[in-house]
Amino acid sequence: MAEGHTTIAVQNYLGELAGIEGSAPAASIIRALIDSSVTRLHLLCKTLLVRSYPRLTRPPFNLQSEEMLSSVVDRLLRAMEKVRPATVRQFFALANQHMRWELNDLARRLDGQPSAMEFQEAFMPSADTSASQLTPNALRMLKAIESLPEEEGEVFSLVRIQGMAQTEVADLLGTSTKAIQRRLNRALMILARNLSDLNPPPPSSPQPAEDA
Amino acid sequence: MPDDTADQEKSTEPERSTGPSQERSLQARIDELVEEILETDRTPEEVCAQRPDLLALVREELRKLSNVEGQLNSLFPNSLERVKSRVRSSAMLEGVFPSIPEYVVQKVLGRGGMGIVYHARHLQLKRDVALKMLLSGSYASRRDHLRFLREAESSAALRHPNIIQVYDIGEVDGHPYYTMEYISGGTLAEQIAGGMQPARDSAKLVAALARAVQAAHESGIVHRDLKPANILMTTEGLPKISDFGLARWLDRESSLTNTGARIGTPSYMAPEQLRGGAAAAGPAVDHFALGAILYEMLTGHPPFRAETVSDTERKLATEEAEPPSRFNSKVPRDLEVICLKCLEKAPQARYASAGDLADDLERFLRHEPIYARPVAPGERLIRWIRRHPLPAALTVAFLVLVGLIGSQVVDNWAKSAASRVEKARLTSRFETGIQLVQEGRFAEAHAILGRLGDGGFSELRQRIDRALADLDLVEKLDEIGVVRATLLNADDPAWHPKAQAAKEYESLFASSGIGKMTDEPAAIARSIGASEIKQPLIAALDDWAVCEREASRRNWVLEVARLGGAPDQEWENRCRNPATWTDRTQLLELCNRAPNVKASVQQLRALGDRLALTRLDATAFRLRVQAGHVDHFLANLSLADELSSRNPAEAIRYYQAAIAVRPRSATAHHNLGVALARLNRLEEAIQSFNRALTFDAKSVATHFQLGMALRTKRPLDAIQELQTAIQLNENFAVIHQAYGELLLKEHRLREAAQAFQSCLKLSKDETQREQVSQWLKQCETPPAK
Repeated sequence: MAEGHTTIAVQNYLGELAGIEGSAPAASIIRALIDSSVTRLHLLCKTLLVRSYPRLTRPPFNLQSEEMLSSVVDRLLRAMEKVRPATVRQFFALANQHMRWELNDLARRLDGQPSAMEFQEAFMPSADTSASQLTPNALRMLKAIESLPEEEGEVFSLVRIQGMAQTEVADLLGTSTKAIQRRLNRALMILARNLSDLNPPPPSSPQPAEDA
Repeated sequence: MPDDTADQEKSTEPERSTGPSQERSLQARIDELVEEILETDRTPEEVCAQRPDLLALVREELRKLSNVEGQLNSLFPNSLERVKSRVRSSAMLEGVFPSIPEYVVQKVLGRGGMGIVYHARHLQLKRDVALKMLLSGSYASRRDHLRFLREAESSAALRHPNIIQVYDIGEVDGHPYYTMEYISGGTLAEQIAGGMQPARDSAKLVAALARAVQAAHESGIVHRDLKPANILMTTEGLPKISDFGLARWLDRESSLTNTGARIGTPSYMAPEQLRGGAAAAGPAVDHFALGAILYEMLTGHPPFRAETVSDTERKLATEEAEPPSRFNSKVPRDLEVICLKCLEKAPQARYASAGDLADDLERFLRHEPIYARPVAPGERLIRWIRRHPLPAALTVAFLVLVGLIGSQVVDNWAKSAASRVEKARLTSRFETGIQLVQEGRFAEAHAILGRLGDGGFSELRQRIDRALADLDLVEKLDEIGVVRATLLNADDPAWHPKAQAAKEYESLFASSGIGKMTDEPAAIARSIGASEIKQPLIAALDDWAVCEREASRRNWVLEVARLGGAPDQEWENRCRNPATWTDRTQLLELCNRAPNVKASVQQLRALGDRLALTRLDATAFRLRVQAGHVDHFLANLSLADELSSRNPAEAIRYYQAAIAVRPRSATAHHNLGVALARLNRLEEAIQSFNRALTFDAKSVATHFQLGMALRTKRPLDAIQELQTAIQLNENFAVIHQAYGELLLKEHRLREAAQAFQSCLKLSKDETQREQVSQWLKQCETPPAK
């Protein structure tokens, strides 16, 4: 499922769910919501893998993100099917938590990976030193997100982890986009303070002329 | 990570209202300001208007923010930074484009913190556009949103060839977007890329930009963020300004980007923009930015730059820009004066309008005196006083004292300051004249140097006199190179204009004191190197070499040219290597590389001649040379000559172009006449020959060709012309032959016989001799009556 459609799908489910009016949430809707979260998690894991260890995805390792991630995704799927959240908001709170855990787990495993491969690496021409910093940073970021105050943390996770649009989040939480925006800004400021000593990101290629 | 994170965060709220300690309340205040920036589209300067002392801290905070934001973006590719998730995440990661009514989005062209630029196509109009979608966040309020749309509308009303046309404005899923002309040639920033651009090209480009800016200002639209990255270049090299009137909506971007590299980069900002207020939005900020762009083109870097943003701002506020000539000695003085006038700190000291700037740049390009004046030493003093009032007051007190003691001293000082300015003005005109000489634009150089006063400066007088002598020499050398192109539409062993040219070059180099063939090449090269007209002299040597038939003499000329030229001109010096002289493979390789070098047209023309000497077709090469120098006289003339025998109709076009450049060139008129005669357009040919004769009455070739053109319709005039030709030079068998033929037809047998006899004396061509002998017999034994 293309990620771009996920949020649209979520929006539709939100509408459907609202139509059901407090009755027991339809299993099909929950299933679809889980699907969209799973897709999103898959995407985030892939980003983490590709950006942290691009070398692992190339020969001779040929680590395919799919095989590495399928177990992660499987676990989320199982965990989410067990829980039966009463509201959509609850559902997303749980989903966010599980996704953070899974990402955390993946980051740890990636962190361990290079040392396990040290022997082979001795025969590699050079190491991707710039990227190796990414997973520890990811772990720290996840921890910082975890410890955000409740309101900010919820909005931040919905936008960042679930990849929802601000208007959708506003609908879900029954507030204005302005308020969502404000909470996001505040979350960012708190994160900036707590992560200010984060290692600088690897030098990225220069931005394209932004005003082109 | 510290474990007290949660505590810190919880304490953020109460801090704002209570502020237990001063430090905490300061931090709370900074947080409030940062939040205000994030929520509205105000700049740090605007937000900190009440608390300027916090500006630096707020900036620092924003910088941290954008750093962490960048990190988060790399792992959680999504909104947060005022970016709506769907557009960005889909575009970045999945390649899913937004669907916009009437358009097909094709690919992402660029991406900034503020928006994404797509390459899209209008379905019905089948028109390629660039579509800029602004990502929401900064346009929190509906009112701002509407304001943006209104300004985009007025920007769309702007129409100017040097402004990117905004076609369409719209909104999709709450994201405002606008579409505009699609330009594929990259930006001016990419073109400059730290290199220095030729002065005249830079002046031309900025003049075009200034015209466009003027048009926008007349419509009440100020850009406010002109910079090389905002100037797009078409594939034809035409500059186009983008985001006119919309820049202020893009400002936010610069205060919060992921890289931090552009945070408020003030390199192109006018000083009043630092302070904010009403002046910050006035047209004068664009005039300043135009000056900054010109400066960067001339020197390869912006006028004010430092390690940090705050240092750059300090420089911008307090220091004068260094003159561009300090970094690039080739910057003409007038252009420098224009550039620095744009960069004046006080808006009223700059050009009153962008149109005035364009006018002055065009005056410079036409080699006319410019209006802008260099800053006089007195003015510089006044500026210093303005910036440093206290020391200035002391100085003034001191000066008053000095004045009382001897006002005469001050008076003299003022006079000498004024005379220095006058001298600078004259010197600048003089340098323009020299440049014209080097460009081969003799008439204009004469006009400037001939009339230039010396202002009573004896040193300047000497330089002017030397320049006039140089001009005279360069003109003569050039004339030799042109005259050797004169065409004779007939074969004759006595006709070798190149050998004649070689002889004339030799005697002119000797008589002007540069050197003789018996001199050491190195010594001559040294005296050429010291001359103001080094380039034209070397160009003449390159032409001379191709005129010499004897290898040893030619090699001598080549060596002088090689030693006199710059050692790093690899291509030029390989051309001058005798080993390459007739080597076809090497010649072709040199030709292929020619478009990438800055060789003189004389040298390129000589290379074309060498192709012809080795029986290679030089047409394609000469066409390329002409395309690279469309307004160069010699480039057009030599291409036309190349085409003349096979395709005279085409040749005529290029002769006309050459004549447009030099209307008084006898050779160009003559050769045009030859081409016309080849097409049997005799009346026009006769006109051309007559025009050639008004500029050079002593051309044997022209009298001969005119006679040939006249012979059927006006044989008597024709006889007259051929007679004149023979009087001027009696060594051409072919002229005697034609003369005899005409006389024979007129039954002037005795004269005809004489002509044929002269022809036989000169001719060694068997067929010609046979033919002429028969005619001679006809003269001696008139047909029986």
